[in-house]
Amino acid sequence: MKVSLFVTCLTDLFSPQVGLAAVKTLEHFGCEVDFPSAQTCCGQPAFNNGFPEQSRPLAARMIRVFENADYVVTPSGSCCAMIRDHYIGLFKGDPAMEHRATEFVAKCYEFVEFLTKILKVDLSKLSLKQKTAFTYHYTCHLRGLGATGDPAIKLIKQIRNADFTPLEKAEQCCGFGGTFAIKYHDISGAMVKDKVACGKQTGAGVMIVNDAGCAMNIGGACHRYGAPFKVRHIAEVIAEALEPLTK
Amino acid sequence: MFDPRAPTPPAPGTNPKRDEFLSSVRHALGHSVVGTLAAPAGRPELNERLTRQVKMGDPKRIDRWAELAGKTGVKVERARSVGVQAAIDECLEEHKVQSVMLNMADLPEDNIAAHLAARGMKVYRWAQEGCAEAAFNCDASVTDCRYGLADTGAIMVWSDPGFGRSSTLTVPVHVVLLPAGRILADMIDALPHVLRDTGGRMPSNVVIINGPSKTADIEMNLVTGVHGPKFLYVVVIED
Amino acid sequence: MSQNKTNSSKSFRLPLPVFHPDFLNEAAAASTDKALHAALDNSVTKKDYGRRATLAELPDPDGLRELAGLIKRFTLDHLDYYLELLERNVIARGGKVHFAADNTEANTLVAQIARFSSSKLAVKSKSMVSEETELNQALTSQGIEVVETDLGEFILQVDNDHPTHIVMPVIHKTASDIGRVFAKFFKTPYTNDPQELAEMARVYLRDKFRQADMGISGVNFAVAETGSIVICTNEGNGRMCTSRPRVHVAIMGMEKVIPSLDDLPVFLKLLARSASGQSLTQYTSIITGPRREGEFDGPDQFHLIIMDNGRSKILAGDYRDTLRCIRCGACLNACPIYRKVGGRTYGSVYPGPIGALLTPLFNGMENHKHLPNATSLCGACFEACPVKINIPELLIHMKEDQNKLGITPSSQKLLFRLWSWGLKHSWSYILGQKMQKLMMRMLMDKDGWIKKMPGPARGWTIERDFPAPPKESFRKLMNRHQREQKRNKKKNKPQAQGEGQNV
Repeated sequence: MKVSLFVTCLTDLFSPQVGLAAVKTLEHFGCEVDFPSAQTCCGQPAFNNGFPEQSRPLAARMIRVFENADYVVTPSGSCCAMIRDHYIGLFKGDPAMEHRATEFVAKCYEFVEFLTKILKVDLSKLSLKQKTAFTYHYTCHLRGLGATGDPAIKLIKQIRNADFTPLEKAEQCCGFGGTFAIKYHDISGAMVKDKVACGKQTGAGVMIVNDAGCAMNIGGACHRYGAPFKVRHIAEVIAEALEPLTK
Repeated sequence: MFDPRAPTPPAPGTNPKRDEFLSSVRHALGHSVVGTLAAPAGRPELNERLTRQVKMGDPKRIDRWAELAGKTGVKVERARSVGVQAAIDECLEEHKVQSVMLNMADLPEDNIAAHLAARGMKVYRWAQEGCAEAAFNCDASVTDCRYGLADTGAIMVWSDPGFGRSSTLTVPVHVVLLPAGRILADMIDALPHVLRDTGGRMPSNVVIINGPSKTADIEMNLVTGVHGPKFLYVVVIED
Repeated sequence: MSQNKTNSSKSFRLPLPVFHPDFLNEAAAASTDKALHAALDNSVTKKDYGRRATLAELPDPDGLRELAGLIKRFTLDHLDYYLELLERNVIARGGKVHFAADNTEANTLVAQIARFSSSKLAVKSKSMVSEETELNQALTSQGIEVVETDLGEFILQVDNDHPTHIVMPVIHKTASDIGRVFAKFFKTPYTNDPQELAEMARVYLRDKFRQADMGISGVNFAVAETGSIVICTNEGNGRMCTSRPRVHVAIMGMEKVIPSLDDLPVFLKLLARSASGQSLTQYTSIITGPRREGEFDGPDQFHLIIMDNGRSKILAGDYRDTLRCIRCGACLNACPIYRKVGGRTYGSVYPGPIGALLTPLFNGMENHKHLPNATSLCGACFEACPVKINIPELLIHMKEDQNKLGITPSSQKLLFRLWSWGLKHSWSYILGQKMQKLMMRMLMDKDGWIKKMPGPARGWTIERDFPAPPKESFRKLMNRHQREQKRNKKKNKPQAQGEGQNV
């Protein structure tokens, strides 16, 4: 199975290890992963700030860059939602581009979605070196993907030595929201502090956060105020569990 | 301002404020501002699959009704016809009831009236001068209701010359008689009855009652009896 | 109290009262108010969970929300027809219909009806539309006593305060706050026991019910086919207001109409569940006209005031779907921003996500710059909305409008133009990456975190640290990985394919 990775601009720069972990995971489960290096950004920040005309050329670029891909997989829920919710609408009135956008949307998957819906992975043979207590933050933009947080939690629970405690207010936004975190930082700050407090309450050592923006936000708050848990993408956890098998 | 005698809408031109208002709506929708509008076609179809929670004729609906009613704070009693008086007594005994408003829409009243009077209560009847004031000052009321709704455990009442609004509202203790046969499966079965039972004439006041009066406005603390009945009893008559 | 702007040349009133114009500072204060957060978690967060739990009782909650949204859209698309149908049927059942172009006209009509019916005392059940028009002040200034009978609204009236939530008006006050308010008003010893406080209000209000000449109510739904209005309450005050007094005046926003009685269960099964996690409110009243001949209680007169106050303008534009709103408050309860700032921060009759749209739509976008921007676009509101108003999409659209209208500072436009340009080409993307990395790694501490971001990004680090980019970007890591894969393939060539996949 040929898969093209859409790493996303934030992951590329700030959490490259997540991108690599996703690649290794996909390869382990039988995918041939390529990385069209001409990719840049899905255009979400401009779109969310009401500048669709600045977003459109970036969307066109994305469609072009991945034109020959069979599957496009991204470790970031919000970028996937941007593509699914808005890419076709961005080219309203341009039937040729609308068609290409529709085709592109049809082959885009978020990482966990791809593992569960397409690869149908079974992680029960995987094991972590040490017993680890996990909790899970539900990244908002997954709402658009029709997920309820359950697929990722199911995957975590499959891994041996992984314990799971549900996070209170798991589906409550962590306060990233892109430029919101800067422009309305008071509110964003209150939101992320709430998220960290809920994380502390679980007693978990790792909070699974499957979005680069959320991870920067929650991780940044953990580092500022101190927290007993680390923030990890599920790809990193799976890749860690895969390590002994690939050696 | 308005003509109290006219039962039809004012003719165009007679009420400029009305005409202007309706014109701006038509204009906003891009419709012609003159002439009458035809009934629009293509309205979304209603689908029972989306609304029906209890199957029509479900044999378990009486039990389901009782369970849900209980959860909303209703005290459910079940009795056979011969035991109705005793059941009413049981409900009223929990409170200091000296005066009671008796108001049945169609169940017979006189035996109950005599019985309650014999137990020393002052019994008031509806459909008499001063009955609304009497209901406002009574300690309790005993009424029937039109239907029970098994999807929620609610009951439905409506007003007519023989059945008042006050008798189910302005008393702290309300006892309702509900023949089991009147428990319908679902609200979607009950509402059509309103027009069906009244020959197509909407009553002035239909109420679906889903438990005693309550509020949680003060720091989310539940308080009952502000301002409708604090205690709601339903006696399900099983035969 | 409210800050409606007045032109010197003529008296101009904004459609919605503005309680304060300073969203940013109010938000900043509220964001650190732990007591407020606790109160909100105890109320709105719980209600949000109640919504989810009770919606699950329905056979197909998402399908029902979809249908409810479609019915509302259809009715709005033909609102002219349905308003005329409603009018015809209300009149046929002995009621009177009045049309109010704006908030002032609505208040004038109520006052006129009061005068014509010699009503000196009015009891009022909850009506958001009456908050829009500031009805109470208008009536009081004309010598008509108005008493709020919803417990929460009564507390606010006595304390000269405003509701901070569409459905639960007084969640911002503790029982102790209310105790102080009542001790002052009733001139009785202080208590903060909710039962005692409710009893004090009950006795006082019962006396008002006893004496009132007029009852004023809102309208949850107006059924065009039967000329009925539907009122959903828990306390019974709505029933009292519409049964005891001789005159009943119902005020509605014109978007509240639904076509038929058969449509009602669609909305009733969603409303209370969405608002507060109940299958139904304690009382659902379906009122059609005044009392009938021969009835012994009920009003002699029924008046329905249908108000525009800017709704026809919204109907005409791109935001028609906001008029689907059934005022359930579910979006407020679900909103992570509302949960941190509370209703007062919005400074409007309509707070929360729907308020962030409605307030600028009614009052003008230039008057409420922050409301559509103070969102993380998380989508919780859309998920909660029983009539599927796509609030996030409309918020983005409103930002687009702000940009087009020049409400957004031009520095923003420039920023995004540059940003987009930089991402259009690989070379500028890579260069930009390298520059960001360089800059940020200069600012980072030994842990790899930045304590103070410069310039426009400093808002971030006021609240939390910013991660510095690692030395190697993903592209470097991927290149190395791909080289390794190639080497391994060459090594493993004589071996069977697919071996590495056996787990």
